[in-house]
Amino acid sequence: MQITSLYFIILSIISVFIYYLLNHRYRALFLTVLSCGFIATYSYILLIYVMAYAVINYVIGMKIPDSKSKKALFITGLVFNITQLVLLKYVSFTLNPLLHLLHVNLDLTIISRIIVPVGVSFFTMQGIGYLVNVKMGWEKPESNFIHFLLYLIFYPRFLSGPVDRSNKFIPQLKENKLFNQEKVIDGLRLILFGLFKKVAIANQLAPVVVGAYTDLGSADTGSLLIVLLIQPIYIYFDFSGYTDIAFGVARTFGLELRPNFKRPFLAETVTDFWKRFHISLASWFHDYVYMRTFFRYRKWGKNATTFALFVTWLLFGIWHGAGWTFMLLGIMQALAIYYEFSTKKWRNRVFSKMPKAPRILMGRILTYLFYGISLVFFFAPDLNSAFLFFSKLFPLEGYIPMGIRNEIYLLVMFFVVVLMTFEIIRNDFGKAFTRIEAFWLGKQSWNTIFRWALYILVITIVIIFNKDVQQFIYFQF
Amino acid sequence: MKKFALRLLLFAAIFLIYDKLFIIVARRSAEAEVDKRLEYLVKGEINKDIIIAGSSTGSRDIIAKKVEKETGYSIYNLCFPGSGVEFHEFVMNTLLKFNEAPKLVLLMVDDDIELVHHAPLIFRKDRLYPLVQYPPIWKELARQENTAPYLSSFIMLQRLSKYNFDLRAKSFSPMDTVFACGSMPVSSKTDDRVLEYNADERNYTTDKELPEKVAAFEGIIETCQANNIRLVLVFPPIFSTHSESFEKRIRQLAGDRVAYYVYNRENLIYRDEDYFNDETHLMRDGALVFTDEIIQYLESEISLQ
Repeated sequence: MQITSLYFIILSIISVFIYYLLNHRYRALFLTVLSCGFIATYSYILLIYVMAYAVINYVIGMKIPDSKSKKALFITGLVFNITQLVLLKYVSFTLNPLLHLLHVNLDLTIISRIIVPVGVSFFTMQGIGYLVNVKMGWEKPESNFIHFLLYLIFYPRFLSGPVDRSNKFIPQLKENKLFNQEKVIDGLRLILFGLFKKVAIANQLAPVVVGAYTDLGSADTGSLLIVLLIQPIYIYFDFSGYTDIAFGVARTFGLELRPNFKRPFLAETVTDFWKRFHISLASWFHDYVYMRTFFRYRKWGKNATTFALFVTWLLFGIWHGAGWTFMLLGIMQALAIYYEFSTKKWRNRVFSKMPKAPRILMGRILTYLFYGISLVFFFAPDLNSAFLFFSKLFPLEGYIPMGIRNEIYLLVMFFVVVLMTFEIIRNDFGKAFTRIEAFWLGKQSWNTIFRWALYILVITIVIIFNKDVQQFIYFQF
Repeated sequence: MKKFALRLLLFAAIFLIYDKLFIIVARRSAEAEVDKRLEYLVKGEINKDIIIAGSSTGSRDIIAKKVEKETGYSIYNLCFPGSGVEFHEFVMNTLLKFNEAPKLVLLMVDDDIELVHHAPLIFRKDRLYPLVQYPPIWKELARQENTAPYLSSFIMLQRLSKYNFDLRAKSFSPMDTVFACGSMPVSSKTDDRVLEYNADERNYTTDKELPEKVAAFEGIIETCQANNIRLVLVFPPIFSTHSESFEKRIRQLAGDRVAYYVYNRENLIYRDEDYFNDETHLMRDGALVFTDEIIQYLESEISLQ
């Protein structure tokens, strides 16, 4: 089921009413049934698979605290989680070439063709996170299987996250949530805002970015330069649009998810960027990979930091997919962060003499450009294509317009400018933002009329642009 | 919660009233269209002996008026540039639903891209959106967009897309002028490239065939059979060797349920770039020659009495 479809939105609104009419003891069960139904629209086999996956993790989690061999049980759980992830996502990159070398005529991709592993990278992260928490004693194992299952499969975030934490999500299920009109309206507003980002901006930019990578051979330098500049905007509005919808749906049920974005293009360094972009995943890797690795090798001193940094970002890259391009994507981030870390003092000394505004602006532009360049490795289907992209950028000749300057794209760029302006005001001009917020949330009737008029305008744009459905980029993970 | 439900209902009511204003946009976008062939189709105004269906090769390469004049059969060209076989199937089904069944259909086959993914040949939703005031059109669009048709039946906005909001008066371009008979021959070259005849043997394989395209192709054949319509699969001239393997594949799929016409490969004008606008489309002079071939074929091989 497409989460941008009117069908999904109407069903979600009806579900909210049923949810609050139910006794709070049955609400988690209701959400679990909804989530199972949602997954079944993709594949019944996937639903059965996810249930089995949840049972195994549930049992291991329950056994760990009382087990005499906690470590062995934990490692069993970890191996199970990683093995199923490899079998479902990385077979063509890992096991299949190995089998080929051993002359074994077996194509293991058949497993992923049968199961349709939608959302597998996300629920596996949550499964591993839960086991680590239980093993470290940071959290007691969850005895209520429905709560644990819902933690793994909650439908708004099942496809593309955010990557949740069991100790943040499960306790919310135990609370008796009373109907809170403001929260429900806020949730609906977020859904609408997310739909707008996805449908009116990301979907319209998709043909430009995806089209360029599909036919790199005939793309010209000017077109590729434009793609390089707009692909961060495309991925941001696509993914944050999905996240807003997920947040919005969860909030209508009185649940809060992990934050995922915090105005990333206002980051002045790559290090800061990853504290603002795909926060739930970056913080998961920070807590469960970086900190664990650093702690384990802390005797190495400074080298432990460097080692942990590169291991973390390499795995971060691989998480996105099996391929050299994703590895390079991760390594590029590690190199940038390492550079920023090791030159921090020097840079502070040099740039502190610069006026604040141009310094901030320069930092933001450089960070944006770096991310734009590294995204070539995200979108390119293979290394050859990525290098072809760069090689075509250098002969700076023949800037032929790519047909991007038509009314639709100008309109989309207008939407981008409006939304980014709001992000800048929110980040840099606190007082002005407070005044805008006060006007927006005002109780006067003309405030309401303004709000409703804007909602109707946005709904109009969303419905009209919501044709030629484009899949969410992070859906593939 | 009751208060919230009432507010939501009030908002929905206001939205539905506002939504009905877009009927004006739907009407205006239909009026702004200059190519009225699809509108004639849903209004049941195309009642002809022969219909030409296909993509741009059909619209450029056969001049229906000339065929009508010389054979005496009434004929109309329903080929749409940039359309794929699924769109041709939709055109055929709509034709039969709202118009009298033709006696003969000439289906132009795109050598060798009819059944594979080829970016320029699509289901032309952009041609359908301006006509969303007609139920068969919005129902088909709902099907294409995978949305529930009942939503489109009571939410006007659900039927519209960005194509409906270009309300500027449209006009025919030299390339896209539709004649009264539905054909769109090219009179002046729009492609300045020097064309080079491709004499290489082209081997067609079924690996890249799309099941939905094969199904649509089969669908057209079955529809014609069910309605007693003679179907001729026409292979138009291209500025390259004719793909024998592709023709073989088409013959394998269609069998003896249809007739076939392959352009006269001995005719040397089909090796002269002056007769071609590009590798797959004839100029008007070339179209006149090919139309004569079709006339000759119809007169000698086909009897519609």
